[in-house]
Amino acid sequence: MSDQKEQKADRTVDLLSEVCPYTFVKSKLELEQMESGQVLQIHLGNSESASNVPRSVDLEGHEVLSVDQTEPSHWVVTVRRA
Amino acid sequence: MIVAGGISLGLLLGYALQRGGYCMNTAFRSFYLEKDRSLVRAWALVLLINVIGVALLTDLGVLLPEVAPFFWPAAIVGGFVFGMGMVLAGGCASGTYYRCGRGMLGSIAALVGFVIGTALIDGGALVEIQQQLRGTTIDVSGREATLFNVLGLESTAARWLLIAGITIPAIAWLSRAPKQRFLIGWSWRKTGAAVGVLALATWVISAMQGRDFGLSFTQPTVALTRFLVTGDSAGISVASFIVIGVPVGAFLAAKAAGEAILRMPDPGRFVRQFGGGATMGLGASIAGGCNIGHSITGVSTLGITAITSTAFIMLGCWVMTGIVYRSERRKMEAEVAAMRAAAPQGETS
Repeated sequence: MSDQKEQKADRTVDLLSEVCPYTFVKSKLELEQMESGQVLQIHLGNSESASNVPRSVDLEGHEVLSVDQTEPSHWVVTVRRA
Repeated sequence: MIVAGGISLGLLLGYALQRGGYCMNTAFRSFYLEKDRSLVRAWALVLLINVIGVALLTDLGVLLPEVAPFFWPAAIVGGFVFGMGMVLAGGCASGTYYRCGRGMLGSIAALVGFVIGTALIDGGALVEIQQQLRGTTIDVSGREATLFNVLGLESTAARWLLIAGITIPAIAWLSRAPKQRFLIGWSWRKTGAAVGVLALATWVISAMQGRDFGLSFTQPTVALTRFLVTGDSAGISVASFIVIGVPVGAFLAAKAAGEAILRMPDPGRFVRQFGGGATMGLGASIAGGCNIGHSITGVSTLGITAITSTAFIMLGCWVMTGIVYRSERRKMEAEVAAMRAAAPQGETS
């Protein structure tokens, strides 16, 4: 996990042991708590969520800045709130 | 043939489910919660292949599909209960099976729950519920409860007209699909095509064994449990070997991608997934099928019990997703309020 990205995020949410629908529900609720332009970093532990969550937040109008696989079963999704 | 065919199909199916992240809970839920329709498209493609394939193989005399009687109360109640359960279980029946293979311990809890739930209803202590709810049926002029017979379509031409009426709009919708972004693993096209072909192959291999049904997870789970516990092999079929192969195939796919890791959810979620699996098992055994037996195989025959059950699986999924969403929102609002009260100038994350 890069420290640079850690610093850039205004908020971080650890959903490594979560499954759907909690991964998207919690990501969506986190984003709702934030202000426009702020960056959320989401840690996900399975490939379905790491694929579905970015796609869904993108379709909600937020900007997906990156999806990085940092370990075999660890994805970091960075999103800027719309 | 039964063992080798079943295990091979199961391995391939498990591999495809894992590579494609094919979870029908996500597909059904997306109508309510998300705007992404990728998994709905994968499901539609599976149905497209199977509606056409099953009708064609039936006309060629290869298959004589078995269709459930229209026991509508069981289809409605069982479907709804199953749909609610799969949200808590963190995956549908097939989703739970393949996720066990890659080491998600919450899904293993859900599978244990599913096994217990199906055993309780199917010949178990709660069999009375199944019998009561399946006691009321609507007769379709003494014929099989399919959309063809409900609409009185007897000739081959009329049947194919209905199939064209269903499949052409589906093809048109699928062909307008936007590019799938943020893809990990297989696209919806590849996943839908693979699962669709394997589901159709199951019909053919089953028919060779004298079993007139396609892919299913509920009855094979019950049969396998009964065999393991009592030694009674009466219900064992090619499908029972498929469900054994699925987690192994998923494990191999996950291992190749480096995703086969034992992962434990928090204790609350673990228990919830177990409860969700048990609820799913009760629902599937009442309705006579799950997201595969009804929502793929049964719907492919245009069976009205399967179509009804699928509609109520979706409804149950939406209701439970709504409950989960509201409960998580309340929790988050309470956390934010507590944080603000404790440290007004504090960090937000």
